[in-house]
Amino acid sequence: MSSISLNLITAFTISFLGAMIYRSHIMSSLLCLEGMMLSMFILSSTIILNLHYMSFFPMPMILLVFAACEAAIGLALLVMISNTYGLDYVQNLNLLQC
Amino acid sequence: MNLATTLVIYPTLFMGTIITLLSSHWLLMWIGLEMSMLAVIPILMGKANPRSTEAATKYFMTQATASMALLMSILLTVMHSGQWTIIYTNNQTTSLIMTLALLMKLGLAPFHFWVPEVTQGVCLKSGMILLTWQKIAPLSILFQISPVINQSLTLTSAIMSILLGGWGGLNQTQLRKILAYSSIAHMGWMLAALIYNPSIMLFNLIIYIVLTLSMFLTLSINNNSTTLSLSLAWSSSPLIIIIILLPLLSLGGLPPLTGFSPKWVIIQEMVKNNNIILPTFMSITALLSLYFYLQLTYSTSLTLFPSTNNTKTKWHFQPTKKIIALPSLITLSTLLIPLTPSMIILN
Amino acid sequence: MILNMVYIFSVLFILGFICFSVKPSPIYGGLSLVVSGGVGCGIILVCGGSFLGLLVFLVYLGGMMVVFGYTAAMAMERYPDTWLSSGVVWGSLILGFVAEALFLYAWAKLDDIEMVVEFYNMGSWVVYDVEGGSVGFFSEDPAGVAAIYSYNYWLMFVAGWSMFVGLFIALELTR
Repeated sequence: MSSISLNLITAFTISFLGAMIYRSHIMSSLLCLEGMMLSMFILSSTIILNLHYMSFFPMPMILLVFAACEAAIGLALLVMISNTYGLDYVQNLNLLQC
Repeated sequence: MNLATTLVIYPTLFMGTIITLLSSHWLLMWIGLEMSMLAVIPILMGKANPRSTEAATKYFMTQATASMALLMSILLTVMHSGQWTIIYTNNQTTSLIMTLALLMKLGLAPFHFWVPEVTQGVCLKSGMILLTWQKIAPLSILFQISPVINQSLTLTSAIMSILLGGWGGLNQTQLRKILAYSSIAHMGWMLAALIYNPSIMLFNLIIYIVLTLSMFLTLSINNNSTTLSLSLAWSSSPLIIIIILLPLLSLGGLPPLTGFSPKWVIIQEMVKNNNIILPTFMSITALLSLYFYLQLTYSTSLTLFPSTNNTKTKWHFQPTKKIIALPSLITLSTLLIPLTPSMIILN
Repeated sequence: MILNMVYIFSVLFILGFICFSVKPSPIYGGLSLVVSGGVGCGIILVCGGSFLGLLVFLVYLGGMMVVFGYTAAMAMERYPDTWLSSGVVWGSLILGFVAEALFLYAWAKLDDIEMVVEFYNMGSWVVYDVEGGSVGFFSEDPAGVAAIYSYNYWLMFVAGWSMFVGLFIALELTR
């Protein structure tokens, strides 16, 4: 594994940990999800470019399509929440706790 | 939800799971998971209120994170082996990450916190879809990677799920939370069966789906969501007190009913593999689940809840809601135990 | 140990990721995500994927980040959290930077860094020669991405349908 791939995997891990943190805005969590997607896009592109897999070049594009879908739905949920509460703190989501 | 939305959302939900089941390519498999995850969000929302919004958001965040982790493990597999098809690589790390991501998608023990909350926030029909149909696709992936998954991780998660599923439901009065905890416990049984014999896991999944469907459909006759409203249900539809007894005891796994047969087969398979301690522990912790099912049965069917005279006349009215599949589901969830020997022979 | 362009880029990429993963205000988080996106585009370019790099730059930064910026601006607070305003944030930021520095040090100690790739190389371009004497270049990644229209058409249908459904769901949710 080259150092570049290792760095990209580390970047993924960092934003995964960021998505796991229960604080601050929901928007920040969505940004962390986007960051995970971005690091995977770069990682898959570099893998495919290094191995010269011609037939797998569409894969990062498909990834991007689903990243866009997830971003759209995440933002729609965010809009709903900030309509309800006026804020988008994750601590506000406490109606359903046991 | 209006007609156009229904015509777009439900086929996508259906198609996503089918794509996952049919594909042998990691990317398409991931796409199928993603499609069914996206399509279930508006179904969870229903009519927007703060509770359902919160439930949908929690579901979205956990599932999106889990599918990212799954895709990362797929990419690591590709880096390691250069293959996109599902073949058995001996790379322990990637299979570990993959299993953890799928456990998160299924809501198994270390990641089980979202299941009761999401189920509590949505209406009964959405909860039914969430606890039955959404489990099929991740379990099918687990089924396909079952030769390479990490044994100790899976068994630990299975035991923790059974224990926590029983434990968490003990003090609940909300029916949807109780059903969510029962789902966690049943998923634990399936995961334990996965190591020894994956086809038993499928058998357990089918039985679990039949039981949960009949339970949810019975509850949706009167739209009951708490133990209190269920214990007053005898006044409006007296048949419900008999009907609900059978799936509840069957979910608990009492012998003459269907729910006993997967537990029986799993325990037998484990004993066949010289594993005695694990099934002992599992069946003891299943008593915790049985306790809250019995509690529910007690308050519903075995006692008449005191009520005013006005509520007693409600049975004169015919129920407006007709649920077509309910009689056959109740029959299936009660009388399937004679099928068990054929299952044992097939193995 | 040879320092090369893509290595520096990947380190910058990680630093950007640490900056938004410690969760400052979404404005600053989005800013550092944009920076990492640009650097990631650089990584892909160095590896030879000019079309994919363009794709991530235009679609990702141009499309999605604009929407994110707009939403973040709508939910803007009076006094947004910077990286220095909260102890948790700058503590974990420093922790992340130190961990990354230790990681780089360990990597440099343990192993040499190979894979020297220069900018502006023509290595990823393939010379084609057809009957009749016309000669030219083509790069493999536009050709590979264009494969989505030929034998990957099933994937394209699925992705297009998901895109449509995604839009539909977003409208249905906010209705």
